[in-house]
Amino acid sequence: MTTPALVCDELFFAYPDGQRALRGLSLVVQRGERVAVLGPNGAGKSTLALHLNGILEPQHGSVTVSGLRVAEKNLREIRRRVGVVFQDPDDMLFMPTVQQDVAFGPVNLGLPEAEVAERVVRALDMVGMRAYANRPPHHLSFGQRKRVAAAAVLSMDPEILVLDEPSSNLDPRSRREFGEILRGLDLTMLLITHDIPYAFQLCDRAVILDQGTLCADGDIRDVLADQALLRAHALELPAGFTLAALDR
Amino acid sequence: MHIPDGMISGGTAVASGALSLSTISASLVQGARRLKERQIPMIGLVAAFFLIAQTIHIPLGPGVSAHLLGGALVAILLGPWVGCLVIATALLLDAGGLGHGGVTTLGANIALTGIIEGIGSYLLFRVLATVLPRTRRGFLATTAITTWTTALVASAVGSALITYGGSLGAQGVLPVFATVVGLQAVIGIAQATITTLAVGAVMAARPDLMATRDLLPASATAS
Amino acid sequence: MSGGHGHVGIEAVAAGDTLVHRLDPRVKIIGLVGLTIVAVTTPVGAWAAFACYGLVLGALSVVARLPGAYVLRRLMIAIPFLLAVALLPFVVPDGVRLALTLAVKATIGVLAMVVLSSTTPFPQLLHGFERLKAPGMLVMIVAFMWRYLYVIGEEVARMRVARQARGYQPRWIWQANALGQTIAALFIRSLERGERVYLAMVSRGYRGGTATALMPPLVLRPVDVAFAAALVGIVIVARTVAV
Repeated sequence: MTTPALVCDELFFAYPDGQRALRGLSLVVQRGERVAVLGPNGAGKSTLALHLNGILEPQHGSVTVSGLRVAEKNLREIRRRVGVVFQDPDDMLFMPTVQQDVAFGPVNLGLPEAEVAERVVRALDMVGMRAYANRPPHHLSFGQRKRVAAAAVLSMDPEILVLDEPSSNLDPRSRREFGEILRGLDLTMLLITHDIPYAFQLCDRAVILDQGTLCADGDIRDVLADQALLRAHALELPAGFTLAALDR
Repeated sequence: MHIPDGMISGGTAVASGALSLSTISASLVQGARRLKERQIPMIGLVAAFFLIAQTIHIPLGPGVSAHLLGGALVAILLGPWVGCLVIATALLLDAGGLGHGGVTTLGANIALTGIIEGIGSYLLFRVLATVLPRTRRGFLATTAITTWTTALVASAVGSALITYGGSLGAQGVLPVFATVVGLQAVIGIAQATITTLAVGAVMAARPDLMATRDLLPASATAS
Repeated sequence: MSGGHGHVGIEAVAAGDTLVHRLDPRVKIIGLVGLTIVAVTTPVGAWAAFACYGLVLGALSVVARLPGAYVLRRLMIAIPFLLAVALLPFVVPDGVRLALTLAVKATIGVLAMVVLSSTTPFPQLLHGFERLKAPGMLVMIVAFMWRYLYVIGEEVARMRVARQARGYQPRWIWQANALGQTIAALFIRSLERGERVYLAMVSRGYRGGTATALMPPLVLRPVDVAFAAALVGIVIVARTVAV
């Protein structure tokens, strides 16, 4: 029995202003799984993401990453194992050049210069942005920034990749290209998204998060085929989208 | 008020430079003690905002220009130390990185905008707030008066710097003061208006972000 | 990016590859700031000295192949000051000589910084300051500021378009109110983004201290030393002769 990549055990979290975001959330993700996290706005999806790398600490419950419990003393390793790609790449690309942004993670891990440089090249290659290494982020299109943001996380060699709304604001071509990049990665993945077709293309499993807890968990085909379930959580398939029509 | 290179004497430049440098150091230290590193990106971002807001300016008099938004806005919203840091770094980038010159007068300009309009505004604001009514209107009135006054004082000090402490010499005192301070008194009304409107809007949307929020009325809509 | 800054121009020009571009940024910083200081402390009416400084800067511009129109455009920023300075003769005795001197000094100040920022890409400039022992926190703040100048600029542009789309009619009172709202919105967004950037930094392992830049180390080459020596020499001569 291999150690699961991620175990969330009865997470309870409320913000300082009293807003209860997570109410008993439990989730187990095995290595290599690609899980779509669906749910209405305000369900707690982004809050969950911030728990996975220890930015937020639950009032009750725990998060364990590959057997390592998320706690103050483990944060460095946790943040290496769990890479979070936030929704707005401009939040993630804060250094003067692309190269420096992608190097930021490895440098913080204390890696020697030569290895940092190597990882930067590798990560940029993974997303097809090596040619832009010396450019400032504002020279890049939005789609390109998304890719570099992913590279900035990939350079840390994570085990789990958490993506918050990866396809939002992407034009169709960038959306497709980014999807191809994601598909080519050999990582455990959590995709928080409203883009149901995207989730269907990239993930095998889907969970529905509503009111701070999981309301559904299963094969993505089964979850998406259950119209009543979707409707109950303010989700719906886009017009004209049918599961059968998509060839995965 | 913004002084270009060459208008103040070496002595003045050095003295104002030393003053500004020590204030910035104090801001960095105070900032580090009270605010912690999580504020660093925010300071950079607000400094960028400040730079862009500063691009609205009008030439004011002999070799000086006035910005429609001064240091008061930042100080009232973020407090004296963060405000001063924001202003100082914005002026630094403006002079060097953006190539707008005024490198040798950086100390003087930081003293005017960062210390007098910045820290000075915060202090004056606090003092005035104890006197004026603790209502939304009172808060805004305090903002307006503070902005106008500190900008005026800055222009007076600036005039002193370029005359007694600078190229225009003591004989230029009367005409320079009359022009600069006089113009500033008028332009200050526009500055105070914009600043007050902006502060009012922040107060309505996110009062929790303001450093002076302890002086806000209990109900933000009370007049 | 809004045309007010001309950033697009700066970056393209700074990315050039001439002798001046390749000079060590530390040498350029100290040299050009030093030149400005000397120019500013040169007495009124020392035209030969000013001409000399101007020639030095002109020569650098030429070697760096800075486009003439570009340099002129950036010098235009000093125009408001210069126009105001033109009023001085009426205000102060011996005003004309003084006015011209001040105009020249202000222009030299701007020109020196134009040369610096046009021959040194910003990350390199920051690196130079870091190596010159500027406080780490300050360098970080400036780095963030520069990076997000463009982001905020884009936001401003978007807001302008949005306002126009709502059929906004500019008349003074409303203009002031809209301006106040825009400023408030930009301010709040800056604060909120600042918080998110910090979270992104922490997520990638940041635990405090300076965020080090991955840049090739700066090594002084003979040409850098030669440039520094030549600059110092010329400037000292000009300054002494002026007195």
